[in-house]
Amino acid sequence: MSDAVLDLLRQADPVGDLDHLPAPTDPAVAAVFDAIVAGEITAPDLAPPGASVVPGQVVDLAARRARRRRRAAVVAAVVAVAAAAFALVVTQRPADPVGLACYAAATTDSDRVGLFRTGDNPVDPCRELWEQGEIDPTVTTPEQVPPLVACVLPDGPVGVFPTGSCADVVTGQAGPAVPLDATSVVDPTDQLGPTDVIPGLPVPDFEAEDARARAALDQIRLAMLDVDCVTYDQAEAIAEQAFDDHGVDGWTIEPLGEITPEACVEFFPQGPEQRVSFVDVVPD
Amino acid sequence: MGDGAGGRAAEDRFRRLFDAHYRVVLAFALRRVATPDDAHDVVADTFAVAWRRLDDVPTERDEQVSWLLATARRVLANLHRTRRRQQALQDRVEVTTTTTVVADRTEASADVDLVRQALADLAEPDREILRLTVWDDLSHAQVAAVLDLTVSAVSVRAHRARRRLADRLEALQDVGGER
Repeated sequence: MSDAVLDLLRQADPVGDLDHLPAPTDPAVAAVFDAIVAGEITAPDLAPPGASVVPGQVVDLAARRARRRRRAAVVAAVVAVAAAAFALVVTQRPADPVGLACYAAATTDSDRVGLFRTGDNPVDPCRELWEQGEIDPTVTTPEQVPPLVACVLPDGPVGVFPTGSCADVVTGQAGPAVPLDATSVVDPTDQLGPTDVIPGLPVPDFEAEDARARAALDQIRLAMLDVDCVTYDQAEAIAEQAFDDHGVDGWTIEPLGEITPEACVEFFPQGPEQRVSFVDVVPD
Repeated sequence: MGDGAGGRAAEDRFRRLFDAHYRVVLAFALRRVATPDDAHDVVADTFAVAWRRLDDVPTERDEQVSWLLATARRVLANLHRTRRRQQALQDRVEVTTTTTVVADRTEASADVDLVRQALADLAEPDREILRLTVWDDLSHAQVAAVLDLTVSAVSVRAHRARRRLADRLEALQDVGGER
């Protein structure tokens, strides 16, 4: 969306600046506070935040979210087991350790959504998008999601395809897609930045702990929100400027997979790894 | 805690929450209901929930906003269901989520009117994600918490909603002969 359209949308805000709204110290507003505390205004019969809004079908989505986090949680024992499972074997094909693409069909020529890898199984984040209708709008329930398989493409990117076998995937490249499994892993020390995160293991939260880094990430995010299409070169410049503006050092800026010069990219920060990645976006 | 029995500490904590976020929640409600009275009801009910469930409210500011707005969405859903029942009984004009309070911003240009029309022409999920990201000024992480989506899904939806709005606006401008 261009700057002009974004500016028009902001102008269309029926509320605008919050300063003209009643302040909490306004007598009428203070009276509401007092009435709530005194029990004169009682909470409506409402499922708590995180619960489904479908009457009669209350599902504790907070618990579902917690289960997602538990699946993605980094545990020392899991790290050790996963390292044993993924590392050490001489690679059949080096796999991108941080990014993946969720494809809409069993061909690299189909629509796709770029993500960063979280959790032990790279299929999981793609499955969530399938269930939410983000890959195929006609698919909106878990039962409708087709079989998904994670494959490593000839040049290293990881793709999750709606098929049962990587052998079915049409790559259009010099070589087939091969399964992403314990035999197709890379020596983690070749791919890592300044941390010791094992490839394929989750990035628990992309928000950086450091306040300056958070501010820089927000600046990058906002700068890209304003522009209809940002190329990788432009995105890299935006990121470099943001880190410079906020005095942030030591972060890596990189593309996820191969990105053509004219492709539009989207922004995927990885705070714990101090890495800012950009992935190309397939037009709607 | 949160029901008054927690004493002064609970009230102080609730006071800080209320003072910090009252206007944000009010603005959120004003952007989604037909009348200021409805908006104030939504805000009162939202904070009443927060008072009752004070222990569930996050301590971090950005997360508090997400929690309150997620609660406000559910309060709004209740309000709309109530209004629809009232309409059936009282033959009132239907209140929909596309009807918003017109604040003191009456000097809108023709282009702003067009973008409002373009926004109204979008599907509600697209409208809501644009309202949350542009008007309510939430980060994608906050939107994910409010809508209970993954951040990746929010990024994808926001990208598509922005594209659809721009396309719809361009179509309206073409119809209006403004190209």
